[in-house]
Amino acid sequence: MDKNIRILIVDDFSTMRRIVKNLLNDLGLFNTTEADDGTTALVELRKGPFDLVITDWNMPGMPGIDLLKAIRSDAALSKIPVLMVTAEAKREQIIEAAQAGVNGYVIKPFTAGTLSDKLDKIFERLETAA
Amino acid sequence: MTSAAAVAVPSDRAHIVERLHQALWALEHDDAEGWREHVDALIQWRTQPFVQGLTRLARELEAALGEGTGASGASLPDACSRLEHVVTLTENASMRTLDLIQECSQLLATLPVAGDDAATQAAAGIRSRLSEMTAAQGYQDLTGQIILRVVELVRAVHAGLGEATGQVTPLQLSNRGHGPSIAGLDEKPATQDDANDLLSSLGI
Repeated sequence: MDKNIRILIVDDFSTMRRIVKNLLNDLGLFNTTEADDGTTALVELRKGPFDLVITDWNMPGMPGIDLLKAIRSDAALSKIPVLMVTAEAKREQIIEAAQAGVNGYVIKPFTAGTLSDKLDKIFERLETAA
Repeated sequence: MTSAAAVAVPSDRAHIVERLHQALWALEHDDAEGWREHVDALIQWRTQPFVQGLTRLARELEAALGEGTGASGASLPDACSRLEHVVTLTENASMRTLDLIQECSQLLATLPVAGDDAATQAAAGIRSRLSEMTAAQGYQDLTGQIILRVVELVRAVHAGLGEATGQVTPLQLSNRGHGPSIAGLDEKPATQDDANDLLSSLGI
């Protein structure tokens, strides 16, 4: 995995943004930017190239599922992998996210190990596809 | 509803008798509109005390829950503020813990390079446990989401009471997600393994 990839972390709770950022740092990934809902995330995404979005689902303003759909329907952003990290754990929600084109789904509470596994899996698949 | 008061002859008896006669006359002369008008007037007369009573009850409840003061602090807005304070307290505690975890990582990095396998393994073990401690601070986000959902519910009830007493705010919760599932209250949530199986069955 390229350690310089640029990652956007989207969560309305500053604690969770910091947790994800620190866990990414522990994995040697330091190039991160933060946003607190889908709307501010889209502003960041349109400013500069990102290699990965890690987003919560339940946020005031634009929720993560709508952000995912917006990313997939925007030609400039549609190829960016999206990892959903959320407490939303209803079967139909996981299916909705899958149908909207999510690349991975981590249910809160999660362990550092789970997050690391899901990131590895996303990048393995991207490398295979490339 | 069979108390003496409920069946007592009404004070505006003459008015009621006249309405009943008019309703009967309309019925006998196929005057559908007149019939409906007079019957509606009678129904309104009969239900008015009930509606007034409900409105008064709602107003009293709103006053009791909305204006609780001082020592008792029993008002709904006050309860919401207390819950929001809990979210702030846990956030501060969680941030403080994250600071300490980062300081531990930095201190660990200043130690001399481990001389043997046992020391190397111990250092790696400490590093991975520090990562898990970081992930475990996610409790603040989960408890915060649950508390803020209750705050939203309480605010909606408070607004709904206002509606019953004449304001027009609808009783409505946002629909941006469900928040964490609570055992015994919500349907059983999917586990990470369930999610993995589901996603791989969908080719992800």
